[in-house]
This record gives sequence, structure tokens and C-alpha cells, in this order.
Amino acid sequence: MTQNENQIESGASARGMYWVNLSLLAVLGAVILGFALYMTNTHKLHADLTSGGIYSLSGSTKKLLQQVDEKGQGYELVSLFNSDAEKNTQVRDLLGEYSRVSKRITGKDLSEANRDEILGKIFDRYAGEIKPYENAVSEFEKLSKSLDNFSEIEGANLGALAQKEKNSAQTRKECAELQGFFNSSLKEELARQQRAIRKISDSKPAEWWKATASLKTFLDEALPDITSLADKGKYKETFSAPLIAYLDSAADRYKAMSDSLKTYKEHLDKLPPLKVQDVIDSIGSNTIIVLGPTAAKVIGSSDIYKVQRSPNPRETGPTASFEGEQAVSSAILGLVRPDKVKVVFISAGSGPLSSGAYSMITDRLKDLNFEVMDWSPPGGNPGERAPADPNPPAEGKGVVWIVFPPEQSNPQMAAMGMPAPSPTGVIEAVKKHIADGGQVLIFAEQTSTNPFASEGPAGFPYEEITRGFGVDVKANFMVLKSYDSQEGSEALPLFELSRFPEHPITKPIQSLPTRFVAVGRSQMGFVGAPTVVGVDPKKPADVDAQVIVDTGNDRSIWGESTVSAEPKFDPKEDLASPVPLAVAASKKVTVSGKQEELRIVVIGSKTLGRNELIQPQLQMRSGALYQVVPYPGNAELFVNSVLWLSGYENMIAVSAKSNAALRIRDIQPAVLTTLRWGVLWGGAPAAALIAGAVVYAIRRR
Amino acid sequence: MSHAADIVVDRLSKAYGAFLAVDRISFEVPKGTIVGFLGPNGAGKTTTIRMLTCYLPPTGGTASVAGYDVFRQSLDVRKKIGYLPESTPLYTEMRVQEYLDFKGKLHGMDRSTRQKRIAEVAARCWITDRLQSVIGTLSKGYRQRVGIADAMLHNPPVLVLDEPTVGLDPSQIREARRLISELAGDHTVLLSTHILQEVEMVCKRVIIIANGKIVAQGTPDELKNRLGSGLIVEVRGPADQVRSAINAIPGITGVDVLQNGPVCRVGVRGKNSAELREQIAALVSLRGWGLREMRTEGASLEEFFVRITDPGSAAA
Amino acid sequence: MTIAKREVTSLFFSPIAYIVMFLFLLYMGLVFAGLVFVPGQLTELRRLVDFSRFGLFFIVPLMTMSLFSDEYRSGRIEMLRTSPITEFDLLLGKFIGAMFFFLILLGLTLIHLTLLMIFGHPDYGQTFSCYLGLALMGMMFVSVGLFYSSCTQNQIVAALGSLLTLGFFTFSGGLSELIPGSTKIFEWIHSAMIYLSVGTHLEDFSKGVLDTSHLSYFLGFSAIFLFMTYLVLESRKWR
Ligand SMILES: Nc1ncnc2c1ncn2[C@@H]1O[C@H](COP(=O)(O)OP(=O)(O)OP(=O)(O)O)[C@@H](O)[C@H]1O
Ligand SMILES: [Mg+2]
Repeated sequence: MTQNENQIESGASARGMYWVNLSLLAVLGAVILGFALYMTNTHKLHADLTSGGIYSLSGSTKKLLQQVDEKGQGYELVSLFNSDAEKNTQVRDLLGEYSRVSKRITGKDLSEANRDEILGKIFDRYAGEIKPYENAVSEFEKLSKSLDNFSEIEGANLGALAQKEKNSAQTRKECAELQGFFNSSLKEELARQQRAIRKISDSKPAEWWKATASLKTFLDEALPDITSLADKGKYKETFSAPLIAYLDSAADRYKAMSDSLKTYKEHLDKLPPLKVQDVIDSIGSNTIIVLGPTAAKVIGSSDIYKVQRSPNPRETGPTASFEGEQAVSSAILGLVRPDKVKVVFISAGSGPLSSGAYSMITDRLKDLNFEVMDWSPPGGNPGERAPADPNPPAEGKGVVWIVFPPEQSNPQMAAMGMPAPSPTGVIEAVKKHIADGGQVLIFAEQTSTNPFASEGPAGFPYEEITRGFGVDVKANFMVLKSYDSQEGSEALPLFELSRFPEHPITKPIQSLPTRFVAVGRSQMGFVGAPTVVGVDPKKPADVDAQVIVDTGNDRSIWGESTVSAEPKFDPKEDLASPVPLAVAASKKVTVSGKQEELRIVVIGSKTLGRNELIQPQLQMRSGALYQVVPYPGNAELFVNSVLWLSGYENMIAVSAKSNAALRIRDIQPAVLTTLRWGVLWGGAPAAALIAGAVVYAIRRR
Repeated sequence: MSHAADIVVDRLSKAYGAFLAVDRISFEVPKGTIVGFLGPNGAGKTTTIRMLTCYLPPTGGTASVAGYDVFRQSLDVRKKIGYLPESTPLYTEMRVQEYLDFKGKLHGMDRSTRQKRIAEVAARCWITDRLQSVIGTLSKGYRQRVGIADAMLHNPPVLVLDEPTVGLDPSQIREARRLISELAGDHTVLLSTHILQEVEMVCKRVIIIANGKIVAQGTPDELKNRLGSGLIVEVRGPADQVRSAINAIPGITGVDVLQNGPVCRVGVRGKNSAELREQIAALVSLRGWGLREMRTEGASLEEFFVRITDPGSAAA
Repeated sequence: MTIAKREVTSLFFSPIAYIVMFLFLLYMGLVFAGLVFVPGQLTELRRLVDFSRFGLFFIVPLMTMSLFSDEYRSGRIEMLRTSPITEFDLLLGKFIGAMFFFLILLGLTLIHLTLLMIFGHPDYGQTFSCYLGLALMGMMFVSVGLFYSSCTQNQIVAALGSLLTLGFFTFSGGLSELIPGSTKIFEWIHSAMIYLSVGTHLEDFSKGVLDTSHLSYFLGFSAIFLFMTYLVLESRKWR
């Protein structure tokens, strides 16, 4: 019986076992699942499947973010892109990618409605800078009291004078006017200032500099009046005797008041300019704000979206390339390491280039956290006033010099008997710079056809520098392209390239149109035309030199050695394509006991980075005007060369990731409507229903 | 547990909550026999069958089919069993052929076997001409036939049929019974039904269940015998006296007055009927009543069924 | 596999499949025409994928509601249960069947992809990841639907249950914004809701980025719901 009982029980106990097993399995499963979820969330493996790698940050950005993580200071990236859904997503994705890669970076997508929140954060970072302003404003509280008293008393006194019967009508009128100044204009203005200050100090965050600015204008207006009243000599002629007598008696008070106001104003004037103001002024819709630990940067929309000429001629519509990563990374870089790499524009005999013909490149370089300066050797240009900065330029290791050929003396200058600027000062300085481990970007220029060449230096002035790096500048060759015109073919030093030999500098500019053009044209020929810059076959063994620009296999471009009215390719004397136009070279040397790499880039076209070739132009595209950069390669080639020279070649890769090719092309409205109704909204769903009906009918039979 | 038994049920019980639907029943079905599983509505037949086919787990006790335990080796059991559920649930949107093919696949039959078996069972269940019909359009009877075909599809050693003839027309019922009879020998069949003639015709053994308990089991004849044969006696005499007189004869278990009047008819139940008949005849002639007629009436299973499952008569 | 195949063929003979296809195509067509297929827009399926969840969260329950419920209601579960297949086979068969149908639905969006290819150049890597994301999301949705279907024999209840659950997964990102207060617990709930939101995890897929955390989310939740379904099926056996 007991055995039987057991048997009966067996069903129940087996069931019990079963549930135990199942719950064990469940627990085990939950543990494994939890572990898997945890692991995959903490140790994320990430793969960007897009062919352009749109959602991958470049290696250099990742290195930068590593630095950020190591330093352990938090960064906040705030996007204010919200007018355009597509841009909003693009920027959000980018910032998300930053915060994904770095633990220290958070990305946010805010709108201008959150302005106060953002301002508060910015103010926190600039608190030290803002404090003096706040103090200055609170100081004014005291001053305003005494000024108030002062004007009260003076108003009363002058009022009494104005009431006095024995004073002449003229005197009384004058007194009344002055009383009016003290009692109403000054007092009212003062009250207004106080209200304004209260309003500013009540608002959070308080923009103290607005208060100081308004105080300044107030003082600018009030101070001269009071000072002139304190100055005995000033009012002698204008006022009548009783008033003068009164003012004389009160002169000390006036003097004291005027002095304290003056001191205060001087104090205000001496307040250091606020950086935060620039930051705040540049905040707007469609900007990215990078909040660092102690500072903030604002990246404007035009730095993030650069409209360029599309490399794809079939493409319609504007193509703005998205350069958000470049912009954000350099902003972070600027905040991570405040010491900037210096770039010096050097030229004998021209004005400051960074603010002149190269201002746009300069802006680009500043965006990339370079510090840009100008230098011209003193005395190199006796005809003009001495260079603005007489101090010797930053030089040596970690500094990039951009050396331009000495200004060609133009016919007018020659006619006035001015000699061409001498390059010797530059040459000496460059040599020293290189010897100290500095890097150089040299622009070469064709010179042999210059009718005034005999007066200036013949050939390429920096030959001795470039030779050492195995760079062969053939300054007597002008690179020309023949064009078919109505009068037959014409050769001009003007052509575009968009294919380059492989090099870190040129890698990202493949397919970007880049223009090479002469500086100008005189009666005798072209001035500053593109020049042949190649690798010296007899280069020193320790030098690594590589052509980075050549004319490819375009047979219509050649290097012309003689310039005549109708230049023609002459296989015996001229150079056939590919004609080299730029060389990047490096050399291992020991500078003060340390192994260093010296780098030099020589580019055979001086105009490459000039504003005219870089600035966007207005163009009509699909019925709308757009700012379009016609030759995007120019700026890139210039900037990339500087980046390479300064050892930031990783930043070169942070270039525009164009998804221009990924746009839906124009579709005629009729076609679009047909597709919508025929396929998307109508056709396809209806087809599903019909298919269902058909199948149903068949099955029912 | 004999080796020859294909279905062995040992104190199997099933409780739905507090309600005990099947209460410790035990029985065996020998190999190759057809056993009828009888019982009134709600007796627990379907519940028992569901436990045997592994659809429901038993609350207690054990059962094995073809040597496999329904609980521990349920997959093996399911392979060995062909089951026709009570409600014949089918995929109504499928064609008969497709459905059988699907079931064949579930049983792991390969393509050619499936084709062969489908043709076979279709022929045996007279659905060959309906193989391409959508099941939803079939009549109840045809669906029942599809169900039977489905149960036989994988040629299982054990067949469990829950009311297989429901919804069939009389000639089909006859055919179905013949079909089931033919299965005997190769197959062990457990046949649940309410129709007693069916059991009498087809089954070697009968198990009767009521209120979750087995109330009787044995061959149909055994059961009939247990009830005893009945005698109908027609006598010219007063019914009351006739009844009490006959009732006094030892071996008589009961006398019912079937017809009153100058000529009364009584039904007599008792054990040894030949002896009884003589005694009754003697008694009647002794009393001087005229014996008009006396005939033995074969006891019906129905009578037995009603008697044994009816709680009122059981108490009497 | 047999179950899956039967499920799919059966689905194709049932009107609900075509209603589901109709709704799906209509919804996707509207989203596509409105948000994606606009001249000058980027040729990417991204927004279609991002928005698909708002359609799928009510389309998938329609598709899955009958999977088990109908078997229960019709009693066919008895037939399936007494067939020599395990609960696991049954579950897997149903799941694969439903997934297959879902993939067919996805296949229908090749219409949209083709239009994109005619009028632009979609990025193939991104397109792949879009479809992968959709398939994974579908997997999770189907698992949820399967679970509710296994819980009840009433299709409407099953559909409602999965609709509510999927609705939560679909909208919890948006709902999280409604959570008031900034106490620790609310913040925790907030971030939990963001994590639970399908959108959070679908976005990278639609961008064209694969990330293990999103992969594990979809696979994990599918596994959870499938396992729960398995438990329900097993426990039915024990009642
Ligand atoms: N799922 C269930 N839950 C609760 N009670 C049930 C369930 N299934 C059956 N029962 C009860 O168990 C008892 C036995 O039912 P069962 O179906 O086995 O009877 P049956 O003998 O097959 O009857 P019929 O001849 O009508 O088919 C009945 O009283 C029924 O109400
Ligand atoms: Mg029954």
C-alpha cells in the first residue's frame, strides 16, 4: 500500500521537480540575460555600417577625446539646431557620437528657449572674469547715493538762487536751467540707471557688463557737465555774476564729485574686456555651444555647414558639406589645450597678410586653434613704412612659418626707382627657424619672365632652403593650360585639378576642385604664375620627399620654359604632364640632442590661399541663391599642409563627410503625385487587398 | 501488469480544482483488443482519455501506453497513440490533403510514406474524393471521418477514439464499426462511446465509468450475465398475488409487474433461469392460475448500463 | 519547422494577413511619401524606420493575436499537444512562422527601397542596418504578441494586451518626458523608461550604426517574452 501511495504521489513530486528545474532555468536565464545586457551596455561594440562612415569619429577626434577622458574634466555640447529637422538630426547624431565615445562629454539638444540655462552655465565658467564687473556695479551704489545727494543739494541751492527777487531775469533763468539739470535730467537719468542695474542684477544670470556699459554712457554724458561746472575758467564767459559767485563758492564740492566720478569711470574703463561677451553674442539659433571646464566656445552654423561646389556635376541643388566634427573637435581641442600652435605669415615687402589677402585662411586656421601672426623682416622693404610688428616672430620648434616670395616690384614701383624687396632677411630668418626645429610652408612662384627680374633676385629666392629637403623648384617654368577659344587655342596659367597623388595632405581633398592661377598679368606676361615644384632626383638620402600635387595626365597642361605671345608645348624644352606642382618633404635631424622630424611643404602657386579663391560666391541653384565655395580644394590644401607641418595630420582626416550624393533628385510633381497615389498610398495597399480577395475566392471554391 | 497490455491505468485520478473528475481508476487494455469505454455524460471518459494521450497531466496515479509512461515518456506515448479528440478540432482553412500531410510531418513521416498513408487512410475512411476540399466546407460527418483518418495516419499501435461515430449517418456508422472491428489484432483500441450496440458489436471488453469511478468491467456477455436474464411470465390471475408468490421463490432477485388486469404480466429477474422457469411453472399451476406465456428475455447491456450508472436504482 | 510552414501558408489564406499587409503598406506608404520620399531629402530609409514602430505596434498584435488563442479556442491545441512535438517545437514553430510573415512584410518595403534607388543612391550599409533593426524590432514585437496570445483564448484580449505592452515600449521615450519631479527615484524611472523605449535602440540602427547594446536589447526582450510564453505553454500542461 505504501508503495502504491508513493506511486500516486509520484505525479505530484515529478511536477514539483519540474517546476524547480524550470525556475532554476529561469533564474539562470535571467542572470545570463542581465549579464549580457550589462556587458553590452558597458562594453559596447560599435560598428558604423554606412559606406561613408558618417557616424564614425575620426582617429584624431578619438585621440582628442581620450585626452579629455584622461584629464577627467567634463564637457558639454549643446546643439541649438532646431530650425531644420535634417540638420538637427545630423548635429544631434554627431554630438551623440561624441558623448558615446567619451564618458566625459554629454551632448544635448536644446532650443533657444533654454537660453537662460545655457547662459547660466557659461557664466559659471567665466565667473572669475565677470566678478570685477559685478563689483564695479555694486560700487556704483555708493557713488550713486552721493551723486544723488549732490544733485539734491545743488538743485536746492540753485533753486533758491533762481527764486531770489534781486537777481536779474537772466541770472534767474540760468539758475533755473542749472537747477533743471540737477533736479530733473541728472536725477532722472540716475534713477533710470539704478532701475536698469536692479533689473540686470535681478535677472539670472546677470549680465553685469550691460550695466557697466550703460553706466559708462551715463558717465560719458554727465561727467563733462559736472567737470565743466567744477572748472572755474570754463563758465566765466557764459554765466552771469551771481551764478559764477555761487559756483565759485561750491567749486570744491563740484571738484570732489567730478573727481570721484572720474575715478570710477577710469575704473570702469580699465576693466579687462570680457571674453564671455563674445561667447554670448555669438550664441544664436543653429549654433553649437561647447562648454568646457573653464571656458566655452560657440560654433556658428556656417562653420558646421560649408556650402561648396559639388564635385558631382550631375548633382542638382545646393550641397552643403557637414563639417561639424572638424568644428567641434577643434573647439574641444582649443579648450583642452589652451596653448596654441603658432602660424606666422612671412613675406618681405607686403602688408600683414593674415588680415589682408589671406584673412579667410587665417580664420580657418584660427578655427583650428592656431594662433596666426605676421612678420616681415625689417628693412626688407625700404620703400614702405616699417612692418607693424617690429618684434622678432615666434620661431623654432612647434611654429609653422608660411613663407611667401618677396613681393615682385610692379612696373609703377620700378618706374619710381624702388628696388624690389630683398629676400635676404627672410632667408636668414627661415634658416634659423629650421635650425631650431621649425616647420615651413613655402610658396614658389615663376619669376623668369618678369621683365624686372634683373632688378630683383633671379630665380627662386629660397633655393638654398628647399634644396636641403630635396625639393627642386624650377622657377623658370610656368605651368600653362591651353584653352580653345574663338581665335584658336590660347594658353593661360589657369587650371583646376581635382585628383592628387596619395599623401596625408591630399587624401581628403581628392575630387575637390582646386584652382591654380597666376597672381596677375602685366603687359609683358603673367605675374606669379604656377611654377613647377618637383622632387630633386639628387635629393639627400635622409630626406623623404613626395610630390603632392601634379597635373596628372592632362595633356593640355604643361610646363612652359619660354613665354611668347603664343606659347606652345615644345617637347624638347618644355615639361609634359604630369608636371609636379607641390612637394611635401621631411627630414630626420637631431636638434639639441633629440631626434626630430623637420617638415617642409613647397607649393608652386602663391595664389592658392588667397581670399578670392576661397570665399564663397553667390550662385543660383535650383531657383535659389546660395553661397557656394567654387574651389573648395584650395583652402583644404592650404590648411591641410599647415596641419601636416604642425604634426596635426590626424586632424586632416577630420574633413567634410559629404552626403551630397545621397539626396533624392528632383522629381516632377506629376510623377511624384502618380507615385504617391499609384504606389505608396494607393497602389501597394490596394494590391494587398486585391491579392487577399483573390486568394480568398480561390480557396473558397 | 501483464506484458500483453497496451494500456495500463493504475489508480489514475484527476481533479479540476476541488472537483474530482476521475477517481483512482485502474484498468488494462490488452494488446490487440478493442475496449469500449462507457459512461454517462460527465462521467470522466474524456478526462481519462486526455490523460492517456498526455494532454492533461494526472493529479495522481500512473498510466502507461504501449509500455511508456504518459507522464515521463509523453513524447513516446504520443508517437504510439492515434487520437481522435471528442470535438474533432481541425484547421478549417486547410484542405484535407494538406491537413493530413501536415499531421504526417508532425509525426516525422517522410514524403513517400505520407503519400502512401494518406491514400490508405483516405480510402479506409471514404474521404478519397474529398481530399482536395477545404475542411471548413465539409459536413460534420466528413470532418469526423477526417479525424478518424488523422488518428490512423501514422499507423499507431494504440488508437484512442473519443466518440468516433458521432455525426455519421447510419450506414457510415455501420461502416465505421466494421472499420474499427477490422483494427482489432494489429491495434489496441480504446473506444469511448454512448452507443451501446456499438460496444456490443465491436468491443471485446467494456469498461463502465460513472462519476469518475469504474463501476463495472468485463466482456459484454459477462456484464449481461451479471445482470441476470429476465423472464416474462403472463398469467391469468391477480397481479399482487402473482408477484409476491413468484418473489418468494428462492433465487429470484426481483419481480416487476408489467401489466395489470385479469391477465397480468410480470417480469422476473433471477439467476439460474432454466431451474427458475420450472419452479415458476410449477408454482403457477399449483395456484391454479393459467399460465398463458413464459419466455426468456435476453438481458440488454442497455439495461445493465442504466441500472449500474443510475444512482437511484443503485440505491434501491 | 512544420508548424512554421503551416502557420505561414495558413496565414496567407486568412483575410487577416491581407488586412495586416494593407495596413502596413498604407502606413509605411504614408510615412515614406511624407517624410522620406521628398526631392532634396537624404536618400535614406532612416525616418521610415524610426517611424515604423508607431505603425508596427498596432499592426503586429493583429498579426500575432490568433497564433495561440485561436488554437485554444478551437480546441486544436489538443491535437497539437497530443502530437509528438514538444512545447518548445510548438513555440519555435509559431515564432518562426510569425517572423517569416513579418519578414514578408518587410520584404514589401522593397517597393519603397526601389523607389529610393531609382531616384537617388541609398547607402547600402545603412540600408542593411535599417532592415536589421526592423527585423530585430519585429522579433521583439512578435515575441510580445506571442506571449499574450499564449495567455488567453480570446484574440481580442490577446491583441489588446500586446497593443498596450508594445504601446508602452513604443511611447515610453515620449512618456518619460511627462514624469514630474527631479527626485532620485523619478530620475531613475525616467532613465529606465528611456532605456525601455524601442526608439532609443532603433535609432542607431536606422542611422546605420550597429551597437551591441541595442542588439542585446532587442534579443534580450525577445528572449524574455519567448521564455515567458514557454512558461505559459508549459504551465497550461499542469493545470
Ligand atoms: N477543464 C475542466 N475544468 C473543470 N471541470 C471539468 C473540465 N473538464 C471536464 N470537467 C468536468 O469533469 C467531469 C468529467 O468530464 P468528461 O469530459 O471527462 O466527461 P465525459 O465522460 O467525457 O462526458 P461526455 O459523455 O459528455 O463526453 C465533468 O463533470 C466535467 O464538468
Ligand atoms: Mg466526453
